[in-house]
Amino acid sequence: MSDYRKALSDIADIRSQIAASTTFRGFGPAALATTGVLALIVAAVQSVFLGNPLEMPLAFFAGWISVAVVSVALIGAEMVVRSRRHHGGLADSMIHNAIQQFLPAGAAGAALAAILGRFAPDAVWMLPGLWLVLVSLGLFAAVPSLPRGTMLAAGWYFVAGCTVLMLSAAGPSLSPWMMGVPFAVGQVLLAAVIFFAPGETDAE
Amino acid sequence: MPSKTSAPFSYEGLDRVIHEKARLGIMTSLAGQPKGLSFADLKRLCGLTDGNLSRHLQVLEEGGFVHIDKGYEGKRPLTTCRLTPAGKARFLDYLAVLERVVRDAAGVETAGADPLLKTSKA
Repeated sequence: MSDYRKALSDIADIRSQIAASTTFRGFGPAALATTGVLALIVAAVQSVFLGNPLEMPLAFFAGWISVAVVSVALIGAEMVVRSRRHHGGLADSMIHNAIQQFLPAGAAGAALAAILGRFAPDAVWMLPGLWLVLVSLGLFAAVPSLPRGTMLAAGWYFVAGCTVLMLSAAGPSLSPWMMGVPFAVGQVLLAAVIFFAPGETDAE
Repeated sequence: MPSKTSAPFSYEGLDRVIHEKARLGIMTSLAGQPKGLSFADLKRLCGLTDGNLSRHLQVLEEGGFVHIDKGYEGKRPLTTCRLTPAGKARFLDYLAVLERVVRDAAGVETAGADPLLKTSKA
């Protein structure tokens, strides 16, 4: 049985090798742009109904965690459909690679929220900026398997995250727009990059 | 053509062009190389002579599996080979069938069943 297992593992390795050198076409511009619009809507609703978010951090972050969950579900669902269509037999390996690239940043974002919320509630104003920086790190990690323009969106998230950190530190303060605008611009930028990317290219 | 249920071990998708030792080596070498490999690198990786490699590359090129670029690096001629999108897709299909072959073989051995009996029950 070990020979068969070794043979199957070798075939899986070859497939992963091909997946790693293929541009991932699982991300769809529609889902990405929708999540950007969703961020703007949540920012607008919070700015109307949430006086000073620093006094109600739970409501503020519950809104943004909901945006993150909905975004992951939307992008994930479209990713599965598009991967099946564009990558055929390589779809599972490509999805697996994409999850591997984004998982560390996602896990770090969740851990930071839990740690700051539990042990340093006075420092929660840092979360929006830190989350944006983490999104940029996830995108930078995925750049080799995505269209080259992804670098632009990753750079935007990094600069926006640092700027939000500096602006929030002045108060310190929390603002729905400081979360919503950078995320919306980043997602729409990413959607445009994916939309205008050439059809059949391999990662180089 | 035998159906999948009547002849489960016919493995129709096992492409005959790829299913040859040297050509399988060439396809596997090129699989993870989007920029392709030089003729010299392929020769070394697959342990083939110039003549053999040329012959097999010609078969693969005629089948639309690989694209061969003949250019120059400085003043030296450089031949580069890479998989075409269609070649990559067919290689992935080939891998899927190969995987099925291994799983079937492992299943038959584990069950200790006579494949003929197993087939007639299917």
